[in-house]
Amino acid sequence: MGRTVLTARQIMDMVEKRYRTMEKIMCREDAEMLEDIIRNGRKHSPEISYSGEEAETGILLFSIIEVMNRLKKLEAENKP
Amino acid sequence: MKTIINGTGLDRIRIWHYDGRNVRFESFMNTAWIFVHGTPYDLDFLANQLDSVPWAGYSRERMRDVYGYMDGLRISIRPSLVPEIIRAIETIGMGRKYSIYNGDINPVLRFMSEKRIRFFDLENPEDMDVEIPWVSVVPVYSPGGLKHIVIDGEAIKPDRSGLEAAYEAIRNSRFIIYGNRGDSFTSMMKDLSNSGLYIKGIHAGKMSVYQSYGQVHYKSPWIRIDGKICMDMDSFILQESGMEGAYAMSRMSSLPLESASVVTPGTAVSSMEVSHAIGRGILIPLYKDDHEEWKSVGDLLDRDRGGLVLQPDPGLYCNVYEIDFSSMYPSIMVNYNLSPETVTGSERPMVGEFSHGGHKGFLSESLQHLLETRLFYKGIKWKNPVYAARDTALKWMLLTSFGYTGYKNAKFGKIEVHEAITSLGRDILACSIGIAHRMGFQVIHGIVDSMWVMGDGDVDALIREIYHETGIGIVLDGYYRWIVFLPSRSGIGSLNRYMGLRHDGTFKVRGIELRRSDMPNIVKQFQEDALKLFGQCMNPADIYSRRLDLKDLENSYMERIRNFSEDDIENFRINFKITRRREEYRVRNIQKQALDKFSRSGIEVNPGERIPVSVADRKRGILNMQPDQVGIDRKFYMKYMKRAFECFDYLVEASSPLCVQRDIREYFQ
Repeated sequence: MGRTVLTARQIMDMVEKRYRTMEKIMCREDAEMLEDIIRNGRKHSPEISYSGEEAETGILLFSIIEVMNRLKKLEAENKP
Repeated sequence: MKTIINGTGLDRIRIWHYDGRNVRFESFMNTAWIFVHGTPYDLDFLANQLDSVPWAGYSRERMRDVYGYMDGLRISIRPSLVPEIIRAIETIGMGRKYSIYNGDINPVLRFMSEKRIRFFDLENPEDMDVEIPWVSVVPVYSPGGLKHIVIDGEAIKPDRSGLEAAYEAIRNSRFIIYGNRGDSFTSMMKDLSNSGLYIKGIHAGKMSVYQSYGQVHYKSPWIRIDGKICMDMDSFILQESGMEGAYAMSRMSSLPLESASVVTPGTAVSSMEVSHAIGRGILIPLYKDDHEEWKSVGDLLDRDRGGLVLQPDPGLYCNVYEIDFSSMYPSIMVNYNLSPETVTGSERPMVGEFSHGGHKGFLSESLQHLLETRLFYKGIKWKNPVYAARDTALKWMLLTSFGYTGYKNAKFGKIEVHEAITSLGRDILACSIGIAHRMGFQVIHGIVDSMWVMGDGDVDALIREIYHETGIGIVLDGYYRWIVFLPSRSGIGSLNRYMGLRHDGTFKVRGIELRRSDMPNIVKQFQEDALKLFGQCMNPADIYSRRLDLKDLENSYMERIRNFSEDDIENFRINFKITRRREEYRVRNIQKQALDKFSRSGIEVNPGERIPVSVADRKRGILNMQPDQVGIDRKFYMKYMKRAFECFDYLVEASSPLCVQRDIREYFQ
């Protein structure tokens, strides 16, 4: 546990809180996507924390990775 | 054979020898010295002042602390006058001109360390401890006064003969284990005294409330009686590891048994380091002034981090290995030679740059014996509960040895060492994850010093490889037929909530209601029964096949609440922990309501203490605190019970053939 600096999970909480303010004026489908993105960020918080990378950058990076994974899966499923 | 079991005194040290039947005393004149360092001019000035003090002698010497040699005055003095001369020197130096060393060492610890003798010494680490005839005296008070006195496990009425029995037990025994919850022992001693049964030489401390790892703890006042060894049965070390653990802690720390039983493991490990420093002729600073080194904000953000904790995907996994680093942080300190004088700035060794021999820094050297002894007992603890108790006591010392490096007042602490340890810990776990992936394993979860992996690879080879690359001992702690990592309320995996069935038929559970001390027995009984239900399940299909049995079990417990019987009341009591004073509670929760009730009865409950209550009506705040009060709020307990069902319902859900757990997204769809 950090002495002075917040832990990655605490930072993730703060980022999540900020993101959630957007939810109030988002359409439902987009808000669901945002939830998904936040969840991805939380899921990958150990990697973000270990690298020392900023939480927001980490969330974006892992969102891209997750999207690429889904894409890869879809491609594999749709291969003739 | 004589064993040293205690030491008392200041200017004369009295050593207590026990030969298995009697205690014999040996007295020694005790001397002390302090070392004062300053500029040559300031030292000359102090020397001039000391010339006029007849009771203090001094010599100019060159001595060393952990960082190196320095010139100063070594002042020899009677131990009882040490505080006085320190005050004088601080006044002369205006609190900043002189650095004082060896000024606040426990006199018995100092005597033992200088003479190189130990409490409860063993010729062979496998030897048993000397058997000491303890008497335990535990007074129990209720709102009406002294209810009974438990002497050696037997409850006695507090009439005249009962009081006399307690008096005789205390007077005739040299070794006393007392219970002093809510000042009960102190109150009983007053009752004895009022009845003309006076025991002389009693000293009592004050109760204290402290926080540790986010938990509030209550420490009852300590009791000392001249010429006797008194130990609090609620002391941390006795609770955790019993008498054998307390002996082991006294042996390792050089603190007398009474002190070792009162102090925290952190103070014990600090005392052990002080003892090691005395043995090595290394000066111990009175006040630590090696402040944190300058660092940039970037550096601070980079270094000020804790251990690496992975995020498990919730779900059921089969054939999982749990591998644990043995005493990871102390091993890092010893094997990577991390000590205040060896770690400067951002320089630190990389994973693999370890050495099992060679010259060691002070901290690594002083922890080495503790670490080796603990690992020895860990290896043989299955042979005898005494070894297991010693292992537990030493494990606590090792655990706090790391934390103390980051404690500002620790004599040999340094924040850079603390940061280096956590940094290496993260890298070692990351390196191990890499090795596991390389060897064909899937890493499911990891918490600081342990990993859960599954796969067809050779786990022994994995352990060997991790040890080879990191230099830190690692062992297979469990092999699970199945293990379920439970989801948190947000849906992602909970870091510390899981249940697993090992191949040997035993369970390991963490974070569920069964493990919580503030749950009523009925909830725990349900979870124990549920575990038994799944104890024979070899795979997910077996688990899924028991889903109807689980429902029956759940229904039977709900039925038990609905048809509550008065005989069952004890199973509904909840041990609530009080975390603050009555007036500090903002909401009127159960704890606050219970405190109000106690307060009306004139009983003070301190933060950190537990109060057993059953809830008769949650809405109206009616609580039962006496054994004869019965009646429960069924709705309230059903809510508790439903929460206890959740983890087992999830287990069945995760074992369903329709459920694919590997991917978190599918869990949320």
